[in-house]
Amino acid sequence: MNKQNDSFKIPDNYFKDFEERLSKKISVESMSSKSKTISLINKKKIKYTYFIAASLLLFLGISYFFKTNQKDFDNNDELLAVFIDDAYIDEYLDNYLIDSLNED
Amino acid sequence: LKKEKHLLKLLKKDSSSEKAFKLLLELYQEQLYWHIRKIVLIHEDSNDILQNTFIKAFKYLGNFKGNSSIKTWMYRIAYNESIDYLNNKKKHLQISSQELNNKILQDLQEDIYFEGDAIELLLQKALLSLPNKQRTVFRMRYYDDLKFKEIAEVLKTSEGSLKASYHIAAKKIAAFVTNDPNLLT
Repeated sequence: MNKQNDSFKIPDNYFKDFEERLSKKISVESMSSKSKTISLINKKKIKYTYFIAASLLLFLGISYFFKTNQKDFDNNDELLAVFIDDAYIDEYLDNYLIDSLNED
Repeated sequence: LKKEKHLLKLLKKDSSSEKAFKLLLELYQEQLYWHIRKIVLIHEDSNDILQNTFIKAFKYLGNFKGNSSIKTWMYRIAYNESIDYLNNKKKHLQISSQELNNKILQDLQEDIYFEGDAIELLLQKALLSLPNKQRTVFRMRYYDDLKFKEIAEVLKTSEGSLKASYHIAAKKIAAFVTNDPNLLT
């Protein structure tokens, strides 16, 4: 057993109350470690949500880009077709005019 | 020894671990408190360290293999916690070991839970003047009444060197106390 001398004192009922104080501290510690785990899980959840949202936005962006560009390509073809037709008509008209002038 | 083995079994079982931990607390809280108190001297510090000691024991009980007795395992945790506490205090205050010892002595005189006279203070001063190992062995043998074999298990060192350290410490303390000029007046 420990040799205690009279010089060192302790508060009344110190050992009687110690268990209660300790169990409170242990429950607080385990609570804080639990909340740490929960916050870690939440952080992971947030990260996954951001990742999924970012992927979705990227997918939508790419789809939109292709759709828009497809329209542009279609429009270009139409414009080109019109341009070719006009050029052909102009050339035809020019040739016709030249032929008729020659005939005159 | 049988009781210890039984207690260990109860501690490792989920259904009985809580009750067994209470038993552990009842068995060792007082011994460990005085062990810690004789190292750090101040009651409030001892209270914090004792709580940390049992929290650590509660946390790491699953890792305890039973190579030593529960008693020496608990003493080892308490001792390590006390030393860590003092080292952290030294770091926090950015002071040397000697300055920390002076501060402990000063705090002790102001501690409301210390009612020692000049001789008691002189004994504490003599203890603080010793090298760490000699001081620890002397405290464990003299105050805690631990056997050299148990001290060797706590400090993980040989019994022979502990015995030598204890005798040197006792001689130094005697010399320190008898040579103090204030004692003669």
